[in-house]
Amino acid sequence: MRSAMLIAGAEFTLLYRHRMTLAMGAILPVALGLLILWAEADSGRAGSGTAAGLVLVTLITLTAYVSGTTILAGRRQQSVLRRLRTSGASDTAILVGSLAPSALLTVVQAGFLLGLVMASGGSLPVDLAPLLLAVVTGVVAGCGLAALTAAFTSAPELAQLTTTPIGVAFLGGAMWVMRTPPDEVTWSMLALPGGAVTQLARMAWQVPGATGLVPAATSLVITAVLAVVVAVRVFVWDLRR
Amino acid sequence: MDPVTCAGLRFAYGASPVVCEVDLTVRESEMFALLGTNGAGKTTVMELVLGHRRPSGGTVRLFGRDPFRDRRRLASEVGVVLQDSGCALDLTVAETIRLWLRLYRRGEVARAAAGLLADVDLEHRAALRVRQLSGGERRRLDLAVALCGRPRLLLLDEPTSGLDPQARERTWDLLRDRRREGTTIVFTTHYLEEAEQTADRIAIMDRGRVALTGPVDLAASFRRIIEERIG
Repeated sequence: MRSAMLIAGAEFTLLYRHRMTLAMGAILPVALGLLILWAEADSGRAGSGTAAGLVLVTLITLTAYVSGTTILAGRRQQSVLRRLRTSGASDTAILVGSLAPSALLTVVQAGFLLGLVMASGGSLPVDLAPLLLAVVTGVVAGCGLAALTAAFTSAPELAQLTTTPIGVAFLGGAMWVMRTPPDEVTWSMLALPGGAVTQLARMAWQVPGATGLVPAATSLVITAVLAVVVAVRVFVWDLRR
Repeated sequence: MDPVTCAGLRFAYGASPVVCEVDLTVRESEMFALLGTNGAGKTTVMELVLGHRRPSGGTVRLFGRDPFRDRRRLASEVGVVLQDSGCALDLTVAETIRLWLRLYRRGEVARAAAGLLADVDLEHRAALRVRQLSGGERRRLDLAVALCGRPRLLLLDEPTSGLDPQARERTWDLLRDRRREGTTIVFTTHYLEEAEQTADRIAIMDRGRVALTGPVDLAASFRRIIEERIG
C-alpha cells in the first residue's frame, strides 16, 4: 500500500506536468458527458437515471480505461515499470500506483457531472448505494481492463486502436441497456460492464421496472475482479520478451 | 554465501538461443566484469540474474535465493542500473531520488538525497527534470538510484556508457569506495581497458557463452585472444 501511494504520488506529479495529457484526460470526457446531458435535457427521453448511467460509462471508458491503458503503455516503453520492479514493490502496487491518477480523475469527473444531473433540474437519486457501487466497481473494472489491454499494447500511440474493442463493449453495453425497457434487461446485457453500470444508475433513480441489483452488481464485480486478477498475471513488464 | 552463482544458465528468444550454459560465481566484495560485444548475451545474463526473465534451463541464485521467485525479498539487497534508465522523464532529479529513497524505506530522506547527489556530482542538477539531463548525467542518476537502498550487491549494465573520461573515472572511484565498504559489484562493459583497470575478475562472453573467465591478470595474458573475440 505504501509503495502504491508513493508511485501514485509520482504519477500525479507527472500528470500535472504533462498539461496536454491532463487536458485530454480531464476536459474531453467531461465535454462529452456535458453533450450527453445537453441532448437529454432537450429531449428528456432517457430520464435522469439512464442519462447518468451513460455519462458514467463514458467517463469510465475514456478516463479510467483509455487513459489508463495509454499511461501504462507509455511507462513500460520508458522502462519505468521495469525499473520500479527492482524496488521491491509488488506488481499489484506498481499497477495500482500507476493507474491511481486515472481512477481518481474518473471519480472527480463523475462527481461533477452526476452533481450537475441532480442540480440542473433533474430528479435526485432515491438510493445512493447502487450509484456508488456503479462508480467504484466501474472504475476498478475500467482500470483492471486498462492493465489487461496494456499487456497487448506495445506503444502508447497504439492504445487508441487496442482499446477500441473493449471501449465499444463498454459504450455499446450502456446503449443496449439504455434502449431496453428497465424490466426487460437480460443477463447478456448486464454481462457487458457498461450495461451493468447503466442499470445500476437506473436503480439509484428507481426508474420504474429497474430491478435486479444482485445480477447487475454481481456481473460488474465479477468483471472487475477477473480483469484485475488476469491483468496482474498476464501483464507484460518488458517488451523485449 | 556467494552473492551470485549461475550454473548451466540458458535462455532463448523462441528458437534462438542467446545464453548457453553459462556458469559464473561472483564472490563477496569483488568487482566482476562481464565483457563482450553487442549481442554477446551480457544484458540477458544480467536480466536473468535480476530475475526479470525466467531461465530456459540451469539455475541462478543471489545470496542463495532464486531471483525470479524472490524478487521482492532480494530488492533491498540488490541495486540495479538497467541498460535503459527507467527513471520517469518529467520528475526532477531530486524528486526521483526522494521517491526511490522512500521506496527503500530510508530515513532522513532529504539528507540521504543530498549525499547521493553529491556522490554522483548532480547536486547542481537537482531541480532539473530528468529529460533535461545529458546522457552522461542520466547515467549518474541511474547509479544514484541504484545506491538508494544501500545494497550489498550492485548489478550494473554498462554503467559508464555515455560518460566522459572524467565522469567515468569519478564513477569508478565511487564504485571502488563502495566495494571497500563490502559491496559486491557486477558490471557489463564493451571496454577491455575499463575491465582491466577496475575489475578483480572478468568473464568474456561470446555468442551467449562464457569464452573465458578468471582474474584480470589472466585475462591480460590472453589479450590477443580477447581482442580477437571482442575487437
